[in-house]
Amino acid sequence: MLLEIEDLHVYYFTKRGVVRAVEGVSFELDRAEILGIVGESGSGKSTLGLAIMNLVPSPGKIVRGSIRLDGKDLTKMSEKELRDIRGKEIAMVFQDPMTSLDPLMRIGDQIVETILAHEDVSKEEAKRRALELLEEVGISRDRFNDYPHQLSGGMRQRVMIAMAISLNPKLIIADEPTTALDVIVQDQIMELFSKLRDEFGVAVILISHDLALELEVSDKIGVMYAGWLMELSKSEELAKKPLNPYARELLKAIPNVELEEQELVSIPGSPPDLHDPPKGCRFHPRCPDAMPICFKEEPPTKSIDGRLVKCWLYGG
Amino acid sequence: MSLRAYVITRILMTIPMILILLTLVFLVMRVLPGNPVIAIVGMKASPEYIKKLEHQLGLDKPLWQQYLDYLGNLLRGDLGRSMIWGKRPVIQEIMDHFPATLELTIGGFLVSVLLGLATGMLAGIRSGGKVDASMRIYSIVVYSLFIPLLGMMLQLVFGVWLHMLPVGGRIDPGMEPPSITGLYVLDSIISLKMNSLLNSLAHLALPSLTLGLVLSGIYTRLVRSSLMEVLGQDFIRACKARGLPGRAILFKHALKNALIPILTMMGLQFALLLAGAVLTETTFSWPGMGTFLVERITYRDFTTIQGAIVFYALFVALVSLIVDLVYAYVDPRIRY
Repeated sequence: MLLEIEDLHVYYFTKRGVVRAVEGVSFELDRAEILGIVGESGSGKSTLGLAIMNLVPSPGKIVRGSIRLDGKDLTKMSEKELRDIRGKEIAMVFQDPMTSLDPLMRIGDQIVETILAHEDVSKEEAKRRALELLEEVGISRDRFNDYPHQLSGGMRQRVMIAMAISLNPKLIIADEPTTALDVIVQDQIMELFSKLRDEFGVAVILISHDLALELEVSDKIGVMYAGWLMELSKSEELAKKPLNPYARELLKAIPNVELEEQELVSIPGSPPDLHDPPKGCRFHPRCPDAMPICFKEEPPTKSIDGRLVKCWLYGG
Repeated sequence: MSLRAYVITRILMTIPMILILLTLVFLVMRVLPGNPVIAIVGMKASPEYIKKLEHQLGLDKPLWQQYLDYLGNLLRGDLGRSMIWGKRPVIQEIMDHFPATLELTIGGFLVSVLLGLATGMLAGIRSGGKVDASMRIYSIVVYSLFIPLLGMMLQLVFGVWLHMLPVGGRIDPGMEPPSITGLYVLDSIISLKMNSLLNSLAHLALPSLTLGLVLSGIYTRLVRSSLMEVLGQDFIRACKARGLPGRAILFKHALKNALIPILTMMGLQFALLLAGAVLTETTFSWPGMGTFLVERITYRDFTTIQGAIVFYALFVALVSLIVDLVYAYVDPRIRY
């Protein structure tokens, strides 16, 4: 197994109190797999992505659990060891390509800098590889000396991806990589991820609020709500028969262009304030299937036919 | 717009600026009681003698005519002659004193920027901590220091007690390097005079430290807040995620970005320093523009004061143009 996450807890210790952004999340990811993480804003999906890099911003902290990459626990590593992992073994692509590049540095130099930070190669060799990488992600070589502001949003995201794959990482974490881009560019970027998986065996964690997109590209999907992993299933299984009521409601909320009815379906209510989450199941105030026990106790995570589900519907 | 067109526009824009400044100074000087003649000969001179002198200096003409005459001369590049000091050309008077002020200004500027950068970075890297708090206290304390007091304290410690540095003047007599730019440090380097260089640097040390220390407090605050803002930006997090070493992130990425807003401040500060070095000059008997101008204002030396204003305006305009060009060099997003 490439990545094993077990019972991960990430809390933010703010002045208003403790925010339990990620609680008790466990999953595994193999090489050449794309795992989608979906959820609403504030569901903890971005925190989860940053936690895997051990980059949770202060006042956030990993308080419990383990993150093992090839068996090595990232939560127990020194800053120096982590720096060798970041970029080299795990790379990250962020949501906003407009702000994720240094505006004062040529894009080519930023790729070269990344390569030189991890590998003992000459500047010329690094530059040669940077040029190749640009071509790989579909940017012409003569853009090497451009500054970020001279590129479109889609091109910048490609540069971010070129940087992410520059050191042949085993895992790429992409946090809403296409949210700031238009649909056509979105498709191209997603194809790029599929290609990386198929040709180089890269594993991808694709964080998004867009379930329809995830169903298209991901091999399996984790559904997060208020810091909990509510369900983890293969994409086809989730699409066919979601187990958790929240996942089911999310699926219903995907607009379908082929249906006659125009009305958009939404889940009533809004996600809870994680300073003070609801007692029992965090989804119970919005859940159509809520039972008396859901108001009182946290549901356990059960494994059903290789799928994970956290819901009282499947027993205690 | 091409770079050349930009520079030309900027130069043209200084013309109305100088006109407005000049008109204001011209009027204010003449509204003030007294004139150069009375300053020279005193109140007891005979009215005929005063009239005669006023006629010689052209002060009996109507105001508008004096104004137009002055502008006419200015257009020919002639700043006129001093009304009191043996009728020396104003430009010569300025050139005698300006290099001293410029040298002190550059010294004070370098000290303030270096101290400000160092303290601001210390505060900004770990904002909220003990170091941050100390640096913020530093910035308030130095900024509220009174220049003459600080100057005298430094004179006492380094000059009187430790005998390390001279307490006044620009250079010891007989040590002056051949005059090329008028900046002793620069001239000594050009003419390879090691002794002059060390001597002028020693004289420059305390005044620069006094001026620079007080003004560094502003940079401490500016660098701190700018650095904190940049460190919170997405691309810094992205740099961390790429596994770049912390030092490279700080110096190659964060600091460079943080300095952009501070550049503006540096340009403005430099102009302020030029004019504001008076207190430092007085404390250290520095033969610069400050003491010179204060003296000429009391004598109502109209032409010299007007000339100095025009000269300052041109110089400040030049500095701000240079700052803008440096901007475009540092920040690729800015193009003219």
